[in-house]
Amino acid sequence: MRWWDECRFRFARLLKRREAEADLEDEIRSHIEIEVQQNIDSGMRPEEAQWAARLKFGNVTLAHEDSRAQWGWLWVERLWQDLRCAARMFAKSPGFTATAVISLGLGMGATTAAFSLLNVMFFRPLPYPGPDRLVEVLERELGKPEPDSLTGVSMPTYRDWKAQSRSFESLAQVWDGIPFVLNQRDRSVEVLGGFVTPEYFPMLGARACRGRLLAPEDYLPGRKTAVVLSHASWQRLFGLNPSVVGTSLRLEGKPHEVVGVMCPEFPTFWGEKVDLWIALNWQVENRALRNLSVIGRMKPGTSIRAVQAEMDVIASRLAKQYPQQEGFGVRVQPLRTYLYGDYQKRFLAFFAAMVLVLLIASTNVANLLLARGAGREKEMAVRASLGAGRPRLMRQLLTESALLSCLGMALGLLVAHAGVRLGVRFSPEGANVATGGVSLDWRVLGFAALLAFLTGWLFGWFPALRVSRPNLNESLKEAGRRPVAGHGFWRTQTVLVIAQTAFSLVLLAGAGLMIHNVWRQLRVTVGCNTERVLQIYTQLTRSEYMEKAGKLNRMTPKAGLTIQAIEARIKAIPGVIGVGLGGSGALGGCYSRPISAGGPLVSRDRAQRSCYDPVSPAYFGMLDIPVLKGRVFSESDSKQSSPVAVINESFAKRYFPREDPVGKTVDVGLWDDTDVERREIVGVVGDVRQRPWAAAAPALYYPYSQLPPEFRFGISYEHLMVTFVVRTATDPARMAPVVGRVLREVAPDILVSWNVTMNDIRWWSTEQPRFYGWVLAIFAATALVLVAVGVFGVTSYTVSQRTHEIGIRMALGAHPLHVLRLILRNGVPQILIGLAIGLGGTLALARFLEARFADLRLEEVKPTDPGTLAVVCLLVAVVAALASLIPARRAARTDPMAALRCA
Amino acid sequence: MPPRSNDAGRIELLQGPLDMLVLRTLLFGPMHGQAIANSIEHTSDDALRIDHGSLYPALQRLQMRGWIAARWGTSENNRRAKYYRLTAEGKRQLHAETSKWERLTAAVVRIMRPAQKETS
Repeated sequence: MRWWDECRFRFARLLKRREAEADLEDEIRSHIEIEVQQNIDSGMRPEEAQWAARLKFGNVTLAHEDSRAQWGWLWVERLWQDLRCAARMFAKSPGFTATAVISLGLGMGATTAAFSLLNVMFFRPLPYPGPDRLVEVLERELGKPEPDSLTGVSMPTYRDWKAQSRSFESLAQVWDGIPFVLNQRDRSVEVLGGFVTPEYFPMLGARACRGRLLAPEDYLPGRKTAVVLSHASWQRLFGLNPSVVGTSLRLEGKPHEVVGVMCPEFPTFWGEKVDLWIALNWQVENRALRNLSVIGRMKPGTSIRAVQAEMDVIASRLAKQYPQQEGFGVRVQPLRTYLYGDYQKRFLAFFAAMVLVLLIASTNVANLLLARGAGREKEMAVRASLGAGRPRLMRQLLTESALLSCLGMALGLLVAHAGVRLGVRFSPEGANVATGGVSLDWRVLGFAALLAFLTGWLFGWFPALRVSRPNLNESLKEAGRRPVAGHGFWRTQTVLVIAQTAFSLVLLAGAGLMIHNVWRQLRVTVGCNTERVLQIYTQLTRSEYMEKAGKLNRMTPKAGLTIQAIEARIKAIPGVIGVGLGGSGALGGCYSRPISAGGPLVSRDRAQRSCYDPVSPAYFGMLDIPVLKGRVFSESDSKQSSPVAVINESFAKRYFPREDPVGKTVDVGLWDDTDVERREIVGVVGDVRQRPWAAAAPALYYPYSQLPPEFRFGISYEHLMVTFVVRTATDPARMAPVVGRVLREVAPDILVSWNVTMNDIRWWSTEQPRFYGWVLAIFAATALVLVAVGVFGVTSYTVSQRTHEIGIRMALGAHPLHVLRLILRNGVPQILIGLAIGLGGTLALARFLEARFADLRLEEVKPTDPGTLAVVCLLVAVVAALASLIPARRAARTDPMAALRCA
Repeated sequence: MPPRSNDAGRIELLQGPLDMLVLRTLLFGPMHGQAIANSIEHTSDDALRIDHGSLYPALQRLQMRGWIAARWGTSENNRRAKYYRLTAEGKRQLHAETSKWERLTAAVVRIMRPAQKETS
């Protein structure tokens, strides 16, 4: 009851505050008047009576305030008062406010943007129903450390799991990210698709907006393979044609039936690039072919640990049953790892970089506040003498910091929003990461609020502490004279400048190393001459080019002749210097097979895999790949002669580390999983790097004329895939249509799935590091600007504080250069110490990062690369020096008379 | 000696003797602020001297708790003044606290007395 009465009392006072205060004032006034009257009545003179009454009453203001304090809303009033005061103050110094708010906005915005990405990766539930029950199930090689031991799952194993496991509501198998060629009436287009089993769509809560999704009957044999389009591909390839359902599609020449179109909101695994889903409707019995993914939905109430335990039991049972499963176990992990595992480490590093930017910005603002604080000593002294205690002063200063922080955060949210949108759009994998879109949801906003709060404390606390301790006596003494701030003040500023410099050095060093890395990668020797080379990936689709050989398909002699004819015709084009055939193309990926050297191929699972590529004799010469030993192929290597091979340096190092490989034989496991081909090595050629940052993959080349029977998994086993490599005298991109025309003249049904210049491939392969390099460069530049602004600000305030002193010095005869030296002498040691600490930090961090982030492609450039570090140090030093030079020069040019007068 | 109040306490007990003194003073009838202050000084034979101003926070506090009620009226010399009177709740509180206070002072006296015996 009492509590309720209190609340009512207080609330009434709050709402009718002015009336209540007036009431109180009236009451106190009447009290004093009554007292005065009594005094007069008892014989005092009027003035005496007044004086006695007031003395007896005590401090009226204090009584008033204390009474009001009882009402309990004092803190609200004070807060409002402080905020208004702070806002007025900031409005009066727009330069300071703008600098501070922009610094904070950049820092907080960057951190919030990075966090929103982390949010998608770690915190936000996946955009599917029941997301915490979704898992990925993989096979695992026992005895190897993860994650290297994790592999895909074979079809038979998947079927066994589905039959034997009780922990899953559903289990689906997926083969994703596969490029297909869609043959439309007038053109061929490359699309990206995936094979799925019927459980996939219901598991992820997908809906069809037209037609239907894949159903179990699509998987029965004898039916046309069913396909579901994504909304984006429906728009892009079929122009939103309403009658697309039921039509027939030719994928890689084979007819498929469109049964439905997915709704646009379905968040796909691999970004928006998925074009279609195809029914995985064939059976493979080979357990060693572990190339599919399995995702599942656990039954409600089970945990991953329990499921893992059950699957372990099943796996060991299978291992005993089937020799191919021996040595393989199971790993169950959350689906999140499947989607984001690769990116998690990288983005954590990113986040750390953004936090560094924020720290730099905060030290900047702290410094600015400190500098301002020095000029407010008089104001603080006046407040203190009016009765404000230290806590009160600190509360006021912290309110100012909080206001700055909130303004900064408001700007920061805008920056974050824009930054994330731009980043996702321009990043090469943006679509991959943004499953379900990157949004500023409540988690991100909550983080932003927390960040604003913490940052406000971070940069506001220390200046508040310093400034709220005014020396009353000194500050109020000489009106107009600015006191030179004491040693403690300088020390704090020094520390902050040092901290700033150190942080920005670390950030710049990181960015510099990545940029250097990218620069090197773009210039790395690929191993072949990539200038003016066109690569054309084609498929010969007519059935007369392939014949059945047992379970497999083999190139017919007619195909060989056709290819030869094409080669000759292309060579005859004016402007073409040379033509060759390259299996997977240089700089692309490569098809790998298990290969063993110096002994028969015993176990396919255990044998090392290397690239296995068919090439034509002209290939090496045309691309200027050096021949290191032996010979390359010639016309004499044909179907009839003995099988030969040419290996590259990496292959030689791996398989024949201490002997001459020429003349030795190797065994290659072919695609049908039983046949083994034996080839004799006749030569060694130089490495061709397929990715600029990685070492070249070991490769075994064999003549096109000796193409083995090949089994192409999936739907394109009826086509012969041939890659033409054409060296041109002029711009290869312009030759492309001419070559295309020639191709179609010789083989009218030829399918050109892609043509690209080698330089383009090289450029695209650096897309990722280039993007990250740019982003880091932007933030490093930001950090540099912040440091410059910070040093400039601090030095400017120093100068303005010491104007009086400088005036005296110059009046006493100091040369402007002496003044310059005086100002710089304070600043330079700080910068140097900051650089030293920053360097130390970078080196320490480099060691730590080297171990953890080995996959971030720093093989070319060591993290402690002295060249980069030296350049970065120099850059920071120069920028800081310039920033302090400008106000120092201004100081040196002060007119002593003016300085003495105005200060 | 009288407590200076800084913020509204949410404690159940009387805050120091001042509140109790005010309640006691009002036991004899409604008074306005100046009269309460003078009354406390006089009845204590000027042993307790307080700044009259420090009465007002106490009055607010007591009002808030519902132990006294206020009304504007006219004073002896025809001036407007706010009169406070004790409520039933306040009277009950005063009796409760008075006995507590008496017990406390008795205890303190008992502790002090042996020391006095030694010094005498």
